[in-house]
Amino acid sequence: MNLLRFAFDNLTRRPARTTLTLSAIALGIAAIVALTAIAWGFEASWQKANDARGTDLIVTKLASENTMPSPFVAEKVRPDLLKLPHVQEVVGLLSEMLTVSYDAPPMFVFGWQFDSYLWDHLQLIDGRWPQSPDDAVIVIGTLAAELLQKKTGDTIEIEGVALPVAGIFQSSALVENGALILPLLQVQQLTDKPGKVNVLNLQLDASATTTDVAHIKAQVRATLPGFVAITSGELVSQNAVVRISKAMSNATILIASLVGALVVFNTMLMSISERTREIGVLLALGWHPRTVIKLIISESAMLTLAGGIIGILLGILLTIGLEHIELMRGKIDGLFSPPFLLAVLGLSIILGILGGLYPAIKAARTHPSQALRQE
Amino acid sequence: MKPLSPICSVTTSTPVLSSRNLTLHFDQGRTKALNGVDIEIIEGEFVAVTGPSGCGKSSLLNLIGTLDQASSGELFFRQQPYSSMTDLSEFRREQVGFVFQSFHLIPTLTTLGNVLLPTVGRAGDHNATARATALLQQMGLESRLDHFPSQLSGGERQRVAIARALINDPTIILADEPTGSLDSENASHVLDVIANMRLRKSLTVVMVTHDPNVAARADREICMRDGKIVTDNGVNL
Repeated sequence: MNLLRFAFDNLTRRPARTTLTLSAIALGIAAIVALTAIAWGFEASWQKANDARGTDLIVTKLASENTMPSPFVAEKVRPDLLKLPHVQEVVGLLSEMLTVSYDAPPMFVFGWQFDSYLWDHLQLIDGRWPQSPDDAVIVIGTLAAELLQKKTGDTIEIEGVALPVAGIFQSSALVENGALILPLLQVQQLTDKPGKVNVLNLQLDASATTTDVAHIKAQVRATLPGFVAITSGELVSQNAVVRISKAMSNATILIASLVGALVVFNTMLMSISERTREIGVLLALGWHPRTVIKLIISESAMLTLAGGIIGILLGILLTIGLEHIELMRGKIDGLFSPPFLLAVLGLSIILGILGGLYPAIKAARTHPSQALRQE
Repeated sequence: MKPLSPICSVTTSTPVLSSRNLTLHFDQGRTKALNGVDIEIIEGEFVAVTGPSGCGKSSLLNLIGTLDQASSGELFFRQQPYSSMTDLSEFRREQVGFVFQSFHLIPTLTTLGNVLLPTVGRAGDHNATARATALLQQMGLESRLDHFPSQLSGGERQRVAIARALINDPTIILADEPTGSLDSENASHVLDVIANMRLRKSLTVVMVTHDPNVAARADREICMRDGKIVTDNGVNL
């Protein structure tokens, strides 16, 4: 006689209740998986984009915690940055989230300093690159081309100005594939931010060590009041959207865990209440109260484990589905890390144990003779 | 049923169970289920406990089976006071087999699963399934191993319950109105099974019944009234 088999049979006795409880747990777990995958994916996608460009350090405004770092006049700090040891290039970048078509969601529009290393990692698959800083043309990522249904030679209207699509490129970062890129000067003119950038990208020479990087960071802080030099990872993790999405995912974990534990608690309490006489029989047959606790905990843990597995699959499907919704395409790139999914499965089992603990103890304390008398 | 090997006598003079001035009170002493019971049951005896409803028969059985605790007095199992037992679950599992009037089988478990229930959590019990199968064969239920209780007749269910009571080779069988839910034919069959098993396994059987015909199958009849034993094998106490 297998205790786990007995526990499983007990769960199948009330298929409707078991299914409802499973569904509640699965939905909670799915929400945890989807939100966390999106939050982490968002962070990873931005970091990937920054890393792909070959940027070693990013200089931005100290309080730049908004979606886009606050714009500033590049030439106010660029000369000082170029004087720092190991700094090879200082390249301006201006980003905006703009509506470029009535039929498509807002898209990232990047202004990159012409002829800088930022362009090097992109792969042109059609058309041409901008020829000069004054070349008022757009190159668009493959995903942006698909979303906007544009090809080389078409025009795209940005801030009321129709600009020709000079080419289509491919990037290893999803966020860039869904973006429109112009020479920096063009974006500054279009958005009425002459000379301004959100960030300055620093590329260091090959001899720069981590100590040198730390030294540059300290020097920027000391010599350029209001500015900070950070790595791309630090920039992304300080980003408001990343922080909000991470906070939301943490809040979801907390709320879903509490709801899950309460659902299991309620289900198991109802279950043992209906089975009082049966538990009395088990105790009369010589079951140790510990064995009764094991049985109830096994039932609740099985319930949440199954809910966890279904929830993880549902969460993955939900994220993939969201990635393909027009509004979200190119903005989210779910990241499913196996250790995280295992941790979610572990969390499911812990919820089962916690939710089933009190009902299990209550069942183990059943007075056998009173339970046997119960109708 | 398979033929049973004959065993002539199973009783010895050793008391397997005894009690001294046993009382059981409920409602803070307002209800006296047992009121000073002294009893001695010899190993291998088949004792019927009779009496009107509410006389304390089932309460006595529950105390013997450690399902309730006495308000005062003492029970002894082979001279060992119940109060000195540290693990009552173990005592129930190893020394006692319960047979209930309404069978109390688990509806989601098969016949075999129900018989194996008392072996759950029993360390080192590796041949439980073989024992359960053999018991069910002896009960004539070899074709019912995979049946669920709802697929069995009343008599079959009670035989499953008896097999369950016997699975751990207990010393005592405590049967509370084992034929109370059965027609006369099935009742007689179940009593045959209990009697035969008692002989085969040298069991002590304490059976509560209000039916004189059922009580007549026992070696000894104890009659109770108002929480006390009033006659023992017809002798007034």
